Amino acid sequence: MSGIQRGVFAIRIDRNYCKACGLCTAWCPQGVIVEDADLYPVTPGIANCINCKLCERHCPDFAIEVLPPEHPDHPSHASAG
Amino acid sequence: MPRFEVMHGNQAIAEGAIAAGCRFYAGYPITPSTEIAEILSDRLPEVDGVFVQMEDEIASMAAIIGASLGGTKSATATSGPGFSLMQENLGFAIGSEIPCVVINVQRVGPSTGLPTKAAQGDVMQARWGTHGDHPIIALSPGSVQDCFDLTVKAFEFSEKYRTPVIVLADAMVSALEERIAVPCAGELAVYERPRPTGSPQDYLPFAFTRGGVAPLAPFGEGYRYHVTGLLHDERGYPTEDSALASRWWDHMHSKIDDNLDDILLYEERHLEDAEVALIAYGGTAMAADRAVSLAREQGIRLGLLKLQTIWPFPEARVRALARACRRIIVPELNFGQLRAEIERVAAGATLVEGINKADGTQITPGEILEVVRRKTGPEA
Amino acid sequence: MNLQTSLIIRDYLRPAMLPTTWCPGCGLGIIMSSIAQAIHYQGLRKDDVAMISGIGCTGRMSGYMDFNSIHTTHGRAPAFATGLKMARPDMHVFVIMGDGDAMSIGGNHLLSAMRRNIDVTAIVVNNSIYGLTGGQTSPTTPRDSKTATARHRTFERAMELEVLARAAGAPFFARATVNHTASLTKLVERAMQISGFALIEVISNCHVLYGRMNDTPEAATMIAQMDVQTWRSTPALQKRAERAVRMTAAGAASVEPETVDGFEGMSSDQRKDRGVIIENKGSVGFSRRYHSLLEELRNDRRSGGE
Repeated sequence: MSGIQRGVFAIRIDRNYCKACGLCTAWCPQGVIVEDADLYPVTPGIANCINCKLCERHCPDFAIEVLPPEHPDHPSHASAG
Repeated sequence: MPRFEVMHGNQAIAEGAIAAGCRFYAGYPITPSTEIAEILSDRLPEVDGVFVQMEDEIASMAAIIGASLGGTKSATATSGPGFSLMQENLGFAIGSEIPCVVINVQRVGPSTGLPTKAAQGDVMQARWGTHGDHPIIALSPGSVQDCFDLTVKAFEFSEKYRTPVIVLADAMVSALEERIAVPCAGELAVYERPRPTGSPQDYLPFAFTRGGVAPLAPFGEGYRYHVTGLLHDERGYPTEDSALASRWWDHMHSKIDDNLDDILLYEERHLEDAEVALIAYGGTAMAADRAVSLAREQGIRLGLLKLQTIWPFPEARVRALARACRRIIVPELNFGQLRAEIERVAAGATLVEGINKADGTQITPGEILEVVRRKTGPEA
Repeated sequence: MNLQTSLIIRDYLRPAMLPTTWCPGCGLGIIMSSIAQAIHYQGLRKDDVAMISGIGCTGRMSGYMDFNSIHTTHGRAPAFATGLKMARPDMHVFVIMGDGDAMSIGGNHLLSAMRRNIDVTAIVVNNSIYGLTGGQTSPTTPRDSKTATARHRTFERAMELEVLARAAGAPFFARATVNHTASLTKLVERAMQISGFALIEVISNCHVLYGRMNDTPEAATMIAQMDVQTWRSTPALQKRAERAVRMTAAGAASVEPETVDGFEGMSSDQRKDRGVIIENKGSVGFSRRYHSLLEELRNDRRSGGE
């Protein structure tokens, strides 16, 4: 992949697994992920996601996943099914 | 036809292990069991088996559990100090129901004690050495033939009931040379570990069956499961659910208690009309056996119950014997470890007395006979 | 190259066991993810992999992963692994230990397994503390730290795994951290290529106990610090690695006391090297040797038996 793409990635956060440890927020280099009032991660800046996966790789609880556009669970496929 | 060979007890144990299908041995040298390791280091590779000399007895016990999970019949041998070190992982094997055989050639303890002298001081350690309540099987060979036969039995029981089985030998039988019958290939019915046949998804490696056990799948053959020393559910996952814990205990105890007919091994001699009965096991049973012959020559109605299975304890047989005879005498090279158990079972139905020492010498037939005569004579 | 988290869960974990019992932000989950990815990229079948762990927070890892797994007794994992590997030589056996597990109660087993060169991939998670029991001093607690059993700070030296590996002759030693996750996965993969005892020390964080008592209560801060506490292995490091181990035994290389800086047997630079530190590609593990001996004996019997 050449060049950095933005605006096409989605982030899925599984609250059943997430322990609100803050690592994904700390590692996100683009300010995509922030903590909500309960300290759980939310992604208001998703348009800036560059798919670096630092959040996913640093998540100790398998709770966060960056979905590329081709991923079947990406929201762009939601109505297609 | 079996072939007859002269061998010593340690060799008979090693050959018994090979005959029973043992193909993995891990151990650490210790007197008076070392010959078992030396012989198996030679013999196992000849039959495609593995011998590993480990760094200590803790590791030896761990290694045989690992090998057993790989699907291989496994054993280790040691003596008192090493048996003490093995208690930790022995408990692991009991709790996670991994078949294996642990041979303890007893010497005088505590601690380093009298390393080359025979004793029978580990009877209660074999029963309760590891922490926590637990069932256990311990067999005590009372001859070189027993060393062979009971080692074969130990593997059978360990596989059948998925439990460690302790062969509680002693330096009397282990160093003794006798002519024994060794079955030829094909003559011995070797118990093979049953394998699961269902689908891996439905496999419950630790099923809480009453009176039995689930087949144990060898690692690497499609049944991926978890083994832990924590109290676990039927899949092997740790749990703190007390209802499950109670079902687990029921399974653990019943798999032994419901199969006593199979597990309890003993030999009787002249008990049918005995006024006085000896109860003996291990090397001391040889002296007791001779004492019976001498007593009978002198017209004394002495009999012998020779225990081969000491744990679980043959309560019913001992209780019946206590009701049938006037006196029970228990010679052991300790200060009454099994006698206390016999007294508990006899519950006052007869007099129970011991002949006891642990000074490195053995109890002779003469000593036993002397006690018997004193107790049965006119002045008794 | 990254394996999607949902695929790791689906293919390599036991979802029934999740979420883990580990504290929020604990590096153990990161390590578990890296091991799963390494196994995935190496293309191993799950049936052919065993995961053997000891006791402690780290000990729980084997239960979460969908392999043939044993959660053994404290410190004994290398010995269980030895038995399993010898019975199942074709299986890839992983040993997962904590620092107290590996270097304190299991020190003898670790040293002996390395000396014997049993064919396993061993991962020692070093978080400098006993976590599960509540933050007591471990063999790797840095000198001058506060712990639950050293309120007035520790004054013992920290045990150095690298030196143990060298002394016992491990054919592979690498150091990784939970900060550098891609490198961690690569190092596990590289260790898996070795025949013999391949050891990886993974620096992890116990911010909840060690951190809270020593001024770094945040997971993110503690993990970020690993970037300055460690540095990347260089060719110069490789040369250093070939130097004799500093020991007091007769004939061992002597060391000027002033270069030691209070850490006998350790680098005077307190930054720890990251990356592959020992790699002996020619190593032949104990199991491989033993089983080729058995093969020879089988052939002898076959030819002699005719």
